[in-house]
Amino acid sequence: MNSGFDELSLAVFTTLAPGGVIAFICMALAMFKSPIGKQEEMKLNRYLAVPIAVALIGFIASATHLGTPANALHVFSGIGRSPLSNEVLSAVAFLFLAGSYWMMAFKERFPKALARIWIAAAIAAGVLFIAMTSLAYSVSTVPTWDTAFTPANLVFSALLAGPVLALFSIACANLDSRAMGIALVALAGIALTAGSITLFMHEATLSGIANNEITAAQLVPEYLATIWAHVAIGSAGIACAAASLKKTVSRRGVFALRLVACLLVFAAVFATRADFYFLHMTVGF
Amino acid sequence: MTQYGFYFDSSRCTGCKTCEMACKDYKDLSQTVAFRKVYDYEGGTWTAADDGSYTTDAYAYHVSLACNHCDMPACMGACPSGAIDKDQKTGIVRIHDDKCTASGACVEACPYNVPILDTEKGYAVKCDLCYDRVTNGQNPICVEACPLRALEFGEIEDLRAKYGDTAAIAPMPSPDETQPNIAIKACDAAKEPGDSTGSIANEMEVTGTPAA
Repeated sequence: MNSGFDELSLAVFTTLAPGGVIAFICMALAMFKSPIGKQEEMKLNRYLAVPIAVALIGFIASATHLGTPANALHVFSGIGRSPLSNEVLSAVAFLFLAGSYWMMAFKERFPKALARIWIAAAIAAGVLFIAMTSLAYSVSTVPTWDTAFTPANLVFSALLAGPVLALFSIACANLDSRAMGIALVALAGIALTAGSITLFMHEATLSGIANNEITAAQLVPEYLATIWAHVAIGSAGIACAAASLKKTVSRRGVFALRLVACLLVFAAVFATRADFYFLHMTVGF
Repeated sequence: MTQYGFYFDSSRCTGCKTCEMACKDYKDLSQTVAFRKVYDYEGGTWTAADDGSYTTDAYAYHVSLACNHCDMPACMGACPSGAIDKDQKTGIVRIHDDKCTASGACVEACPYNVPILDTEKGYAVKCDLCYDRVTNGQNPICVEACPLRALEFGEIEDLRAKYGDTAAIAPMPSPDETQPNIAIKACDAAKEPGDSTGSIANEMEVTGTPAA
């Protein structure tokens, strides 16, 4: 109970970083869709900076809960053994590959084959990062975290926030692909539905988890209300994103709607992520 | 490998906390840090009968706990930077501050509320079974200090042979999870792990959070 974790910084981390990674992947995948114009690809490449920046802010937030960052390099000694080490390694790999790709894409002559391999490697690192992050909480002495709901919640949250962030980045790039827009909004909608169902199922199991002193349901009495807020705020965000797809909306309107959509979906995710950390308890004290 | 551990006699312990204070003094711990903690476990009720008489099943007992130097230390498993190890010769689980990032993962994982993030020092700290003393043939300071002789130190096999295999009483969790190296003599009032008739009465003192 004497939690050392700074819950909020980790909630910020697991809200922003996976969302940023999914947005990066959505935009990167668009580049594999042939044929893609040179101009279009350049715009996409430039504005990969938006999801990378969001992910980076998340990573920085996660570093702030370290009491002695000077010893952080020792984290790499735990690779393979420690889920947290695996998470950090995949995060560093993603940042390195995505960041270096973004910088390389400024080159006049960046061979297309090399570019594709590079970004594919970044996508793979991103997928690995989300997988590792979702597994980092399987600690057998923490019964509220060590469930199948933990990875499911994390993945669905990323798939809710990521596509909306990708929509916003595409608007920044002034790219107008209606088909892609529809696909992204649909993906976010499906993720919100599936994610909310998972959250409700998780909530239903909490009263059955107890240590000698407390049941998990007592830890966060407002969890159910938070999930409803997640549904409402997330739906509002997706509604804004969907509204931005209307042909009659001005360019500035599209930008504004998608910005609001991003803020809403990230807020929806953050609310449930914060409660996830408040749900920490061990089988003992 | 030799595995050292503690024996705790809950039929002797009066909850005086001399062990805790001796440890704080010897280890020079700050006000908010204690490596050994005494849990007051209390429960039961008074019932009034029709004839005006009262019966009671109220009880209270104390559980003095430091690190159990588990066979399967959850703290060690969770540490991302390999700062926690289990000594080959003694089985003592120690935190090496030169590798600790103070991520708090050990604090989160330990079901015995043992590792503590010392924000002043910038790393996690916990009981090391008085490593320097016991490797010099001395007892841990808490064992020496107990005025009731309720604590004993030794090889866990010897302690279990002498006192039995009980490794948990309420409010401790089931020993299955981390296989703690502690032998316990349960007092008459002691409840099984998972008991729901009582609660930790000094919650604020031992865990830093108010009682539920």
